[in-house]
Formats: sequence, C-alpha cells, structure tokens
Amino acid sequence: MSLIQTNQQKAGTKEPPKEKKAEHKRKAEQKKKPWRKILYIQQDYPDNHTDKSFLEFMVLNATARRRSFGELSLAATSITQELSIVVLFIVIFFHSYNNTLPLVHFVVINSILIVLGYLMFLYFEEDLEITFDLIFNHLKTFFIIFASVFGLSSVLRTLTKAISNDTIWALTTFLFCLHLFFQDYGYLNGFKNRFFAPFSLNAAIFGSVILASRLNSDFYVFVFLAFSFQVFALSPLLRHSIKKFSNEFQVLLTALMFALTFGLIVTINTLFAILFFFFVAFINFGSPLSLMAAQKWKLFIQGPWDCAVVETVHK
Amino acid sequence: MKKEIEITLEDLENEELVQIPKRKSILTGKYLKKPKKRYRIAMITDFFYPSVGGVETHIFQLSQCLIKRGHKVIVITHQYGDRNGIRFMTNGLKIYYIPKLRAPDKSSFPTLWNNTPILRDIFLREKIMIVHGHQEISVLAHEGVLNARELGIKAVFTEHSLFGFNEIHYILVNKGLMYSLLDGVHLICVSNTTKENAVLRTALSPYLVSVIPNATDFSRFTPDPTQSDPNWITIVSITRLMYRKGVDLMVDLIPIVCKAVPNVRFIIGGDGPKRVFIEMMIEKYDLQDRVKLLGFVKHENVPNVLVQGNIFLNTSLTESFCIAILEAVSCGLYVVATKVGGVPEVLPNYMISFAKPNPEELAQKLIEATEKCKDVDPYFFHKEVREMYDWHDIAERTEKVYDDMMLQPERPLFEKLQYHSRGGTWGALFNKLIFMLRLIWLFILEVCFPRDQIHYAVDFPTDKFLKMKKKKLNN
Repeated sequence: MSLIQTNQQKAGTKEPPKEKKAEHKRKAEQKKKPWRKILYIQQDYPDNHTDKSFLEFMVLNATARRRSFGELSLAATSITQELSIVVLFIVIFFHSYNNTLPLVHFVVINSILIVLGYLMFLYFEEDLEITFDLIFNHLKTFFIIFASVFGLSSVLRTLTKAISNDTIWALTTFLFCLHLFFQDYGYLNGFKNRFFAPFSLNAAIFGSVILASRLNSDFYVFVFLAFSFQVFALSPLLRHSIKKFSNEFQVLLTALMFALTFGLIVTINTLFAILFFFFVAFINFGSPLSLMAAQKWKLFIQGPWDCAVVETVHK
Repeated sequence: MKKEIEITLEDLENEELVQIPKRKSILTGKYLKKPKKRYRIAMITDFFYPSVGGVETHIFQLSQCLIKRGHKVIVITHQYGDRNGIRFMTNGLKIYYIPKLRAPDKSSFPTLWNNTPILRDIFLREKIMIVHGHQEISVLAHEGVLNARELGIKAVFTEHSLFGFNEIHYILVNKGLMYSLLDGVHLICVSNTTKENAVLRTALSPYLVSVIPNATDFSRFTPDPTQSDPNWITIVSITRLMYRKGVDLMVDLIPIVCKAVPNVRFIIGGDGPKRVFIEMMIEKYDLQDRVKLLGFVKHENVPNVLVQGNIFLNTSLTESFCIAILEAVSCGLYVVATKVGGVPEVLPNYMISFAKPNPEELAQKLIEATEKCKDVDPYFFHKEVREMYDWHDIAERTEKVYDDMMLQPERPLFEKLQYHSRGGTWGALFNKLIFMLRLIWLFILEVCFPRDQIHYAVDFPTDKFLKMKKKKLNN
C-alpha cells in the first residue's frame, strides 16, 4: 500500500490528456520492424513471440512412399507361398506317417517335381548361360547331396528313437514357425539377389530330419529328405526367378500352391482347411490393408535442427 | 493450506521494492499492476557444481543475477560422492545435495515415488514459489517439476539442447518431457531453432515457449593481441574430439587449407575418441609444424589458448546455441562455423561466416577468412559481444517469465486430470492412474509429515550481506 502512495507523491504534475493521445497516435503509426530470427539484438517483440515464419523450414515425409494395395499384395504372395509350402510338407509327412502315401507314388512325384523344377529354373533364370559345364556342375551337386542323404538315411531313421512323439511334434511346430519367421522374403520377392537365410534353412532341415526319423523304412526316409531338400533349399531359387520373370506367373504359382495345399488339407481335416484359408486371406489381403490404414500416421520430420550428416566418416 | 506457501508483503523483512515502469504481461497482454515481488526460486537439476559444463555455469550465473535482483534462489541437485547435505556458495546461494543414485553420463536414475518426500520437504521448508528445472536429460529436473505441479507450486523448464525424433532414446526422452510439461509449465529455450524443435517434440503451444539466449562470463575472455604470433595466421579449435563435433570434417579440411595458404597453422585443443585420426592425418601429410594438438584443455586455460589465435573454427554437426563461439569472439577472433542448429542466430555477419557441413566448403570459407581476419579489431569485437549477451538481461527476461507464471491461476484437481488425456486411450488411462497414485502418496506424506509441523528454513540475509560487500568495496 505504501508503494502506491509513494508513486503518487512522486508523480508531480500530470501530463495533459491531449498530448498523451497525440503521442499514442504517433507511436501507433510507427510501424513495428519485422521480427528477425536472431538473438543478438533486442527486438520489440515479447520473448514468446511466434512469427509467421515459425517452422517454415520443416519438411514432413520427404522420403516416405505411399504404397498401393496391389504392390503390397504382390509382395505378400511370397509369404503365402512359403506358408503353403510348409503346410504342404507337413501334410505329405502326415500321409507318409500314416502309410496312406505309397512309396512308389512318392518317388514318382518327387522325380517329376525335381526334373520339372530344374527345367523351369533353367528357363526362367536370367543371365544364365546354359553350357554343358553348368549343367554338369548342377548334376554333380545333386548327386553328392542325394548320395550322402541316401547313405545316412539308415542312421537318421533311428536318430530320435528314444524321444517321444509329442516332443517331436512340438519341436517341429516350433522349428517351422522359426523357419517362416526368418525366411529371406526379400530374396523371394526379387528385391535382393543373394539368398541368405541360414537360420531359417537350418531350422527347416532340422525339422524335416526329426520328422523323417519317425518314418518306417530307410528308403522312405531318403525320399522324404530328398523332398525336403527340394522344398526348402531349391524351391526358393526357382520362386525367385519366377517372381523376377513375371508378376503374373508369380500370382498363378501362388494360386496353384494354395489350391493344392488346400485340397490336401481337406483330405485330412476340414477345420484346418478353413483355418488355413482364413489365415492366408489375412496375410495376403488383410495385412496390406492394415499397412495402408497405418500409412496415414507416418510422420518423418526434418528441419534445420537435424544433426548434419558427414559423407566421409573416419573409422 | 495455500496460506503457508504464499508470501505476503508483510512477511518479508527489509523490503526495499524496486520501482520499475509498468510492464505488459506477455501472456495476457494486461499491465502488471502489482509491484515486483520477491520470488523464492528453486533451481533443480542433475548438473551442477562440482561437475563443470555449460548448463552448470548457466544455472550458477542466472542464480547470482537473480539474487542481486532481490530474489531468493536455492539449487537442488544430487549428491556427488561424499558431497551431500546443504552447502552455500557465493552470495548465499544454498545448494541441496540430495541422496539420489547417480547414473552414467552424470544424470540419475528415474523414480516415481522415492524423491517426493524429500523434495516436498525442501519446497515447503523454503517456502518455494517457483521451481525451475534445467536440461531435459536430467531426471531430477523432471521429477522436481512434476512434484512441484502436484503441490501447486509454479514451474518453469529450460531446454538447452536439440534432439532428434527417429531413434528410440529420442522418443523416450521426448515423451518424458511432454509428460513433465503437461500441467501448464512454461518452457524456456536458448534459441529459436531450439524452440521449433521443442514445440515439435512436446506438442506444446508455441506461446508457452520463450526464447532467452545464453551468455558467458566475458570478463574472463579478453583479447590479448600480444599473444598471437604475427608471422602466422592461427586457427584455433577447442572441442571434444568426437563424431558429433564434426572432427571428420576437420580431418579432411586441414590438408586443403594448409596447402592453399602457406602461413596458416592450426591449434586443436581437446581430447576424445577421434583424436587418433587427426594424428594420422598429420603424419600422412607431414604437417607436424603446422598443426598442434594440445590434448585436454582445462576450463581455466581456455582463454589463454584462444588469444593465441586469429580465427576460431567450429565444425559441430549439431548445436543449439554454441557458447564456444561467443567466447572466441570475446577474445577477438573471427569465427568460421558450420550452419547447423541455432548457430546462425547467434552472431552478426561481420563476426562469423558460415559453411555447409562439408570439408570443401569449410576450407573455402577458412581461406577467405584468412583475408578478413586481418581487418578485425579484437577490442571492438569484445565490446560488441559484451553488449549483445548479458547475464543481467537474461535474468530480467527470466523474471518476466516468472511474473507471468505467478499470475496464472491454479486450476482445480479435476481440470488438472484433463491434462493427462494425451497419449491415446490406454496412454491417457495409464497417465491418469499414475497421477492419482502420486496424489495418494502426497496425501500419505501430508498425514505423516504435516505441513504445519515443518520448521521453516532460515533465509540467508542476502541484503545485509550485499550491503556489507558494497561497503567493503567502497572502503
């Protein structure tokens, strides 16, 4: 209270109101200097002034790409193929285990598949000089692998004699899930040129070996393992070349695989077939849709506050 | 309950309130009718003496200037080894070293409940009106601001650095800051770029963010033309030798500049993981007599190193304000810096030249600078920069922020709960749950340690002390 009194005492004579009004008018006419983004001079703006030029150098989503449904669906077909192939493999095992697949039929199917597959690989693969040397090398590799599997087949048949069936089924499920998870889909979609997924291949071969150990005869084990080698080690190469060759063939192949697998599961259990159908629908069409719905949340902010990137970093 | 915290005019002794012209409130636009109040401020941070750095010096200088303007300031920080309890620094600045587990990189471990009793006790016994947290990566500052808001004490936060958005540690830190600033906390940034960055990170309204720059102690950095060798043009650079400070650029540009200008030499101070590359470059191009590596330079010796030079080189890849270039200009050096972050706002064009962060352009600008630095008058630079950045001015601007904070009404609890609606459905629910649990914790503390039984701390007699100091100086 004392302060206000002191102020009034010190005020002395009051300024006449007319002069004050004129001064106000003069000050209002003097235009305010535009705000500058600098710190070294006192500007006639409060500290929290936000200018029109606030965030003018901010760039949003400069590198983000809007993907279309077709593009995403096509990329998802490789996952569908892989899933179908794994399920097909399990179904074949199921039939082998229950002796509903005669050995002769299995051998014939296997031989047709490998010959057909190899011919298709030679046709679809680009930058391939079909010389006698190349084919000889391929055949040599086949022979070595198949011969060693044939030799080991009797050992592999009794590999898991002491392990119960339930352990085998559980372990196999887990291993094939790992295989699906870590597969090199970039290669299968034609984005990369080198097949590098050792973890997934190991998991698949491990799974197929322990499955094969449940079978009855040595020769059956050999044929089954040859089949698994074709499916997991050789078919990625073929599928990669098909995808690179033509998108239509890729879609056709996926549809065929799906139809075949679906047809075979139906012979075992219709519930599983329905589940398989919905799962594939989710992967091939549902996931692209959800990714497209999520694309609107993409926010990649760049601006003058970013850490600068140096071209040559010394290490 | 509110009565205990509010300081009325009659409570203060020796009130010699300064008569100042009327100021408009920056938030409401109305004239502030009340005379200047003496505020009781708590600076809270992990980074303070005995650790040395930019933030520590900022807090110390700001506190000293606020004390000279008549406010009461205390500092709360975590203990450093044996150093715990209460200590006093210059002019009665009280420092609380509270027991808190220290994490690597000088900050401390985050907690939700542990520090509430001790912080509540400090805020109440010192009758704190405003809590001022510093530096985003300091966990104690966040905790202090959160506890203050729950107790109804006003809070201000100062942001000293720039952060990205992409990586997981940035995302966590940004969410932490967003949570701390929910309840009407004013943010102070050290440059306009920092303000843009902070507004984007924390989704604050830009009108709640003020830009108040840093300054430095210019009396320590005075020019001394006798120290520099007239036969050479000396380029000085004192930084930590790490990736963020652009050492890769330095390694590439030094050979170019040394080849182009025959009488140029480099003095590089500082140590770090990239030092070995500079040594390799010196050996490769045979520049032993042109480039001198000093190793780690103590803070006291920095002015001595700076005055030996004609040009200061700053190759940082990211910098929110850069006090180093202010120190260099104060010593009379011409500056060449990379155009990143807040650096373009700091100095006028006749003191600094900018280059994009690539070695060729930096080398080009350095070569041009070797011509310009001959015309530079070091004493003129020192005088100019002294007038641009002053701690007393910064303290006055911070005080304006405090004035506006004190005029804001304290919202009821139900409205405060609405602030926690950010973060989606589940995030909001989680935030509200944590908020309610913290309030229950405060209630328990209130029951166990009631407010009316807290012994108020005795204030350091700052006015008498300052008067005594003045008398001694005059005598």
